[in-house]
Amino acid sequence: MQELSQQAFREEADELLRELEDSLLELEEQPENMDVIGKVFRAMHTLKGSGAMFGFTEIATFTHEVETVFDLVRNNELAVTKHLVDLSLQARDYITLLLNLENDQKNPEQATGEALIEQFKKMYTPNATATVIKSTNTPPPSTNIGQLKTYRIQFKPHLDILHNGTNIASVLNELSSLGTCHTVAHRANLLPLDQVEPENCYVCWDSILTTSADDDAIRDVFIFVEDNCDLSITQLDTNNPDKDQHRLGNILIERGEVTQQDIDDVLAKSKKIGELLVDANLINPDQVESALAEQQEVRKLKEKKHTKSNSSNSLRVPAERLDELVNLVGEMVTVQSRLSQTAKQYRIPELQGIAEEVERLTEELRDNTLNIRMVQIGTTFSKFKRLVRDISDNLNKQVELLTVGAETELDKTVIDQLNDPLIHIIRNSMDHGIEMPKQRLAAGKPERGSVTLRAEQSGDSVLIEIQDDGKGLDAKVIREKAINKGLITKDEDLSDQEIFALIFAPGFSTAQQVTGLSGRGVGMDVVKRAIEALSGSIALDSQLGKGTTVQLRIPLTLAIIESLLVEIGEGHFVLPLSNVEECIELTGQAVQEARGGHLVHVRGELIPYIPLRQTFSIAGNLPEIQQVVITNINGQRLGFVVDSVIGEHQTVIKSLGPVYRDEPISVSGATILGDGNVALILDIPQLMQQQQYPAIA
Amino acid sequence: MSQQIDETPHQLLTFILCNEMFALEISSVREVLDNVKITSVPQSPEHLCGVINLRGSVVPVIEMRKKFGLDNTTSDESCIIILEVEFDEELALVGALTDSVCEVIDLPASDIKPAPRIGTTLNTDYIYGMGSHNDQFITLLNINKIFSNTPHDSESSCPPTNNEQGNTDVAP
Amino acid sequence: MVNYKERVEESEPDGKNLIITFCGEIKIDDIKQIKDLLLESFKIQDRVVLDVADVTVGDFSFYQILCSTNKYAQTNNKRFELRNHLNPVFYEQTKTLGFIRQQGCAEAKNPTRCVWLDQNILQT
Repeated sequence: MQELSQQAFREEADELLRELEDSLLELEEQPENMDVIGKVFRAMHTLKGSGAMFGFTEIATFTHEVETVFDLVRNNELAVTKHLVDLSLQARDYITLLLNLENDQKNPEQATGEALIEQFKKMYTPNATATVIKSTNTPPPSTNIGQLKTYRIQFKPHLDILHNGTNIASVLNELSSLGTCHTVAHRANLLPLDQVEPENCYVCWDSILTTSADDDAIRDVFIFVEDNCDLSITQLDTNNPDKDQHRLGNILIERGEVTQQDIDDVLAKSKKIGELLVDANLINPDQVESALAEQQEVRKLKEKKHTKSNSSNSLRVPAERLDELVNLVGEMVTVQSRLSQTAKQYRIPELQGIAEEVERLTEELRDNTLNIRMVQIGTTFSKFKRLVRDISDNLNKQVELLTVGAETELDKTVIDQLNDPLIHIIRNSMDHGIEMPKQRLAAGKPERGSVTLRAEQSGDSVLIEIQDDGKGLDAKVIREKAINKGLITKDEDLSDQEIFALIFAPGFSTAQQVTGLSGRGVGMDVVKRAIEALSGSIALDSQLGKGTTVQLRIPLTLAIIESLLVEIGEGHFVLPLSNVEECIELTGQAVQEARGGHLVHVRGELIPYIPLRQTFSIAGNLPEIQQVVITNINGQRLGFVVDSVIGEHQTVIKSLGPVYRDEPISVSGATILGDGNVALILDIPQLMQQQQYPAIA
Repeated sequence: MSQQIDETPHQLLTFILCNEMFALEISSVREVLDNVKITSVPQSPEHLCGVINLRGSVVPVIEMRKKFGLDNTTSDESCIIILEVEFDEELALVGALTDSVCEVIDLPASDIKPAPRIGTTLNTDYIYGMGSHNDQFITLLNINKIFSNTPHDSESSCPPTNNEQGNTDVAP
Repeated sequence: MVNYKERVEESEPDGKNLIITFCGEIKIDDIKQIKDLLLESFKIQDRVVLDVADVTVGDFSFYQILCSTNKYAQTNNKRFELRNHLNPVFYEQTKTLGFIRQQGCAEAKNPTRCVWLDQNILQT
């Protein structure tokens, strides 16, 4: 169970670290912005406190040092410099490393951590007010010269809060370390031993805390449990006598032999409640004394009605639950298609009506569910700002990253898988595209180069462009290289576009030297594969001297795609509809005319095709007339010959599983048809590659 | 390497392949099917006969006689045993195509002898022991070894695996 | 699994106490076992005493179950007591968790028997 809570901490910490990075980059641009400084400080503070609570002591100790420095910053005792931001970014990276260490793993970067701490320490002046505290369990109360305030904290955990390993004792311990704290546990709902479920939490708490910390600091104590409880933090004051009376009653309910009913009855009269209760013989005067003493403390201060609501407009959901939901929706789509088919067969009008309605609802359900997985690509884009900054520093170039269309949404899985390819493309641009500042000036360009990330939705796909204003691609050089590699012959006449496309061929690389970043042999072919694994496509365009643009087209969702269902022999196959342009007949005559070449005329253009029956060694007789499905990938047209085209099909993609993973098949998955048969999903890019580069494929 | 045979009796599902009896630990067996349509997957190696639709899931089926390089004649009867197998730390369902399935038996550890080093046509890695039950010899199979290996015993006409061009990093 | 020992001792004026001593850390993973153990103990004896001298760390679920045990004992005419809970660690934790009371809770049959009463604790 401890692992669960550690896992929860890791996830929250991950997000904190991400935000921290953003804040630090912001801070670099606006070194005087107090809000941003506050954000950075709070992130450090939370990491430290909760790190300690969940056993990540190394993180807590390390973060403490950084927090100390930022405390000075927010008190205007230290200025923000590039050096500080650099150090802080490095610190943030170090914390990420610590976070990802396994429980018993030794820290391989210990020396780095210590060096960083040294650097931070150098930033204190000898008269620094920060104290270096050895114990990591006690966060110091805020150094504001604020007065002491008293808060009432009502903490009502949900019944199942303990199931994920939450340690309530830690939370309450931390709360009481903030100052003088008196906690009362309400156990009225606790069941006796024979009925109790020991792993549930039946108890809720009221705490009275007198502290100099602000309520954010108090709220931070509960940050990792706030999703699993009801929490209210109220600063207390005495201006409202009636409220006080209620509180006394509450105190008494717990401490004395009073129930809520008693209180309500008695309050119906108007004497002071303490007296009333004593009169009614429900409690004794001593008890009133002690409860009053507590109330006194409360009376000393002002009240601010300050219950922050805990509800937010968004919800954290574990990704697996979403995946499960999408799976179920997929099953539903499959069954619904069987329903429609059966309804058609039996021709019962009422049944058909119902089947149609189920179809409509299922589509809506499908769209809604897939929508839940949609995430703005902006989150990925902003990660790259850090990347670009670091790489420009490394290369001694000046590059800025611009983004357009950050609010464009993509399926979560797709975004995750786009991360690596995008990074590679950006690195390439910065490494091989953007020139050194001197060269740029000589070429009449601004010293600072730019890489622009653009995202836009188009139909059922998203278009992503990575454009740089660097030196562009030299078609001649590429052509030479391709000839040298044997990819094309000297005589082949290719358009610039076709030449650029050669960059995606396996084993191709035009880097004249190996640079640390892009390395050798890690060519665009790897990127292309990754994009195609997402059923997407990639293309290059460039103008020598002006820049290069990489264009990606990615379908919006992975799980369910519109496709075209075809038949070859007894087997059924589907092709993603987004790639399909048209279907034409392939007559015996056309085959003859091509004289062995697998080519077909379409409106004057000669298009190659793959005779799938042959490729797949499917037995049986060829039908008189076959169909060619013309597909278009990145401007390249390729036909696939099938027996017949059945029609459109909503395909719920099922993986073939690990057994087929390493096999060189041209099928990327399967789907279940309405009649229970299995149709195989054709991997068009793979088939294309097999045809183009049979030696390599 | 031979596996340690522990003391508790083994619960096994026995099945017939080419007139010989084999057995699998019942703990990995999910269910047994017959008369299921197998959709063949083009361009795949011989021992992978295709996939089936198992209540909406697509499950690959391995033809056991081809995997073991046994006699190639197909029998009229066939049965698919659905197994849960570990592949590189993930659990997956795999079907095993056999001639027929017999019964579940309890075999005490004392009736199990270690796998012979020589004398069988099977890859000895696949066998973790030999047992006998009602005077019949049973070859006890090691499920995870059989199903997670890609290479197989029959003629090596399998096409070279298409390499991703180096697993060189596209990593941040 | 939790470490524990059991023994029976005579207690005045009549009857026996079943003393259970827990040792070491008590975590939520142990809690179901403890519940079953305590229920069983009450079947053997009407009076059960829990000695917590050797408990090094108890998490919230442990304290919760002690309270639950007391409620059970009260409604079933049994008797449940804690022993050696003055040890600083245990006491501190009961304070932070807010379990210390001045007076037994309203639902208790016999409020003076509350295990958490300051005076009961101080007596031992």
